[in-house]
Amino acid sequence: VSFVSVEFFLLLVITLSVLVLVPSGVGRKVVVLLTSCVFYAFWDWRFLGLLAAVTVIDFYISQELVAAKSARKRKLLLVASVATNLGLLAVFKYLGFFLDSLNALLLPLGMQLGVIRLILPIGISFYTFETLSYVIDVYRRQTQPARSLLDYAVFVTFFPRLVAGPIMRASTFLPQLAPGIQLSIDNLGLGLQLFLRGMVKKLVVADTMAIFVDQVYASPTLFSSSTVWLAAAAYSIQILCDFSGYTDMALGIGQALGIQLPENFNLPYTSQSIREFWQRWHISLSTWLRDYLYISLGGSRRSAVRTNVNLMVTMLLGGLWHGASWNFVLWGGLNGLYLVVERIFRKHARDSGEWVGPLSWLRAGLVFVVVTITWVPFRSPSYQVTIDVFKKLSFIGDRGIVWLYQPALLAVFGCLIGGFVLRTLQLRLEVFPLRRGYTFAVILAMALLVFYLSPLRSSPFIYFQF
Amino acid sequence: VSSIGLTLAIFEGILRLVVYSVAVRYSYDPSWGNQVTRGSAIHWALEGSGTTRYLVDGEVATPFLDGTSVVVVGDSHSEARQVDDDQNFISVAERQLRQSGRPVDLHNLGQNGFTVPDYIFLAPLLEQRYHPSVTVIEIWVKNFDVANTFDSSQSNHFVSTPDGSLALRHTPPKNLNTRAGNLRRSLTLVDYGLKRVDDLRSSIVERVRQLVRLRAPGESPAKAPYLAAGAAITALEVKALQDAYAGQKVVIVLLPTGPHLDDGRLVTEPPPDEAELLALLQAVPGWRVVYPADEFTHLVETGALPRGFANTVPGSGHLNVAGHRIVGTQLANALKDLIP
Repeated sequence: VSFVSVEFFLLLVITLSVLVLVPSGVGRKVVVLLTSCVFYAFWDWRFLGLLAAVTVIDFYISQELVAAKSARKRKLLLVASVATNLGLLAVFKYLGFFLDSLNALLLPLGMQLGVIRLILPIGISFYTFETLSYVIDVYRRQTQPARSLLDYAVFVTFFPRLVAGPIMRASTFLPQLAPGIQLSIDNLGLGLQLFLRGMVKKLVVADTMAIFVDQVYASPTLFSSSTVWLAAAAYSIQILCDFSGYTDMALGIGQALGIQLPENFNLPYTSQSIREFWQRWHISLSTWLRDYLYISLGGSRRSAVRTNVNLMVTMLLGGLWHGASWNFVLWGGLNGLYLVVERIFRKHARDSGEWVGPLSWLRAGLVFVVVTITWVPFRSPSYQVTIDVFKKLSFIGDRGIVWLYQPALLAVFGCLIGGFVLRTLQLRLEVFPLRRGYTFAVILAMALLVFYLSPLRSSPFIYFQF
Repeated sequence: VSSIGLTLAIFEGILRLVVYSVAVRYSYDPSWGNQVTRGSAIHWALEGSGTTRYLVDGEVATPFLDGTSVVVVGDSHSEARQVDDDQNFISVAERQLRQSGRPVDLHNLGQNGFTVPDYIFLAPLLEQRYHPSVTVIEIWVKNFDVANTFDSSQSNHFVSTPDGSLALRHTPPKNLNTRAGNLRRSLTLVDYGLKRVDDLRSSIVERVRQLVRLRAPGESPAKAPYLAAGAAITALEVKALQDAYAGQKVVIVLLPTGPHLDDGRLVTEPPPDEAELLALLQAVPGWRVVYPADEFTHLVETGALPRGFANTVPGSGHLNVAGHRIVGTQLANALKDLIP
């Protein structure tokens, strides 16, 4: 069940109806928790137990952390939590991958270790990071522990962001939950606009790009280099609109329930450097990796070499976080490499990073090309396809079917130029209070876009697989 | 209210540009059914992009309107809304025949949704109205698909008789020349909106059925008994077509389904049912069969496919300009032998 399914709309309508009937307080939190469980059970009810176990274990560890007097006990509790969370992630997500990789290495020696195939519990990468950050923050005394198991369970399982983020800190979520789930017409209006904006991005743009990108990536050798270049660029737009569309929908549902979730994207393709790109792309993951991995490794406090190593390790693990595949490792490694190179050259550049007109357009265009090339291993279903796409992008064997998909041309140039214009004029995509007359026209326009211009078949959200 | 009105007006303009605008009026005749009246035009952008004009009642415009009469019946491939009317294979053939000194007038009677029973029903009417020197019938395998030709909701359809032969059933189609129909077609927002509602309803009903386990995902509804006898029925359908056009010079344009993309593979071989149909058609005495499969395959070497457009998947859907050019050239060559 995704946000654009019959089941989800029914679930949402029922939830909102029940919430209206239930008075604010514990009752509404219970309704939201139950909805989250039903939503998760639609994917795979068997992993509800795992989700519940992680929630309970981390809640009680956090309570013990507060109560513990000795530093040694606090450290032991932290290690227990980290080991539990990362252990589960390692077993479900990476064990099969590591065994496969090891088997490939052992094959020349005639040895094999056997194969393990486990179903990946949906959302495990996201909720594991949230529970980890919660326990670490409590350990660092940067946040107060949850007041009750119910509050903490609502935080971990909150259905708008359960399966694909944004990755949220308890310190941001729990204070909003403290007064209870607050419903209002204003919040519903704002939430509806955010939700529809997400639907436009997902259904109108991302799903239309998927028609083109899926065909080209299924067999890049069939197509001309120009077609593969366009498909690579179209994927950049697809993944942005797919993921930021999902995020907008999550933000919209959260807003309707009176909970503000963090922004995850801020015009990433207007970035003038890879460093800036990572400050604007999947912001909740980038900041998590910075705060809990990069800084824990020492950040930039040590030597230049060590800083660069820290950057590479962070980005490699960030790549691996997305999926158990060498393609993701390559993608993370490339991003790490860019950051290291930028860091070396930034020392000699007088670059303020401000948006200064045509030069910024040119820089952002170049960064878009680099990011587009880097998405190739991320999108490719196999290493061989990655190589095939790179060959086409290099104009090696460039002949093939020429397919310059018009909607892709429109989306690539439209999104880029639209983003540059917004950045130049220092504008943002806003949502408006219902009391303003044109708000209904905005809502109608987005509804019409979705109704008339979305393909009939919707693709699954890309980030749901992580 | 004004901002909502403005939004709707802007959307009507956008839809006319990127979906379609249908400035169509129909005249109704009990025998011919609904015929597009002269002066109507369709701008189509859902698949490809083209403008189709109707300069004569019931006919898609071709470059020339006088000369030796040649009638072309066919389905959406002949009506060819996806390209401009002077680019479809009938216009291409007419131009080439004119250039070769043959003053022909090809009448394009292609209509979206036509199948074999329609071609059979139309045969005597075409003879009566056009007295054609040659009749061209454009077909492809789907036109013989029993799911379409036996569909009782269609104006013309087959039924099986107790002795195993086919009988044609005709019920006059619904009159489209109504005030409500004309109003609906004048606003793309309404016309396309109603189509989208239908599509949406179907997909929601399908999903709800899956949810309540009435039917497993992907499982088709139960098939009628005659569907089991697909190949045998095709032979009977070809025989019925042969009988309907007995004594006339006939050119069959069999459109190849390939080359097309299938799961990341370029498929150039014709499907078995197409090869069987080709054999059946070639076995009919006196019929000339145009089947440009080799030319379609050669086209791939130039980086193009005969089907598909810049806004659809290559190899899928209707013929594009390159595909029409190939078919038109082949048709012109076939007609040169029949028209002195």
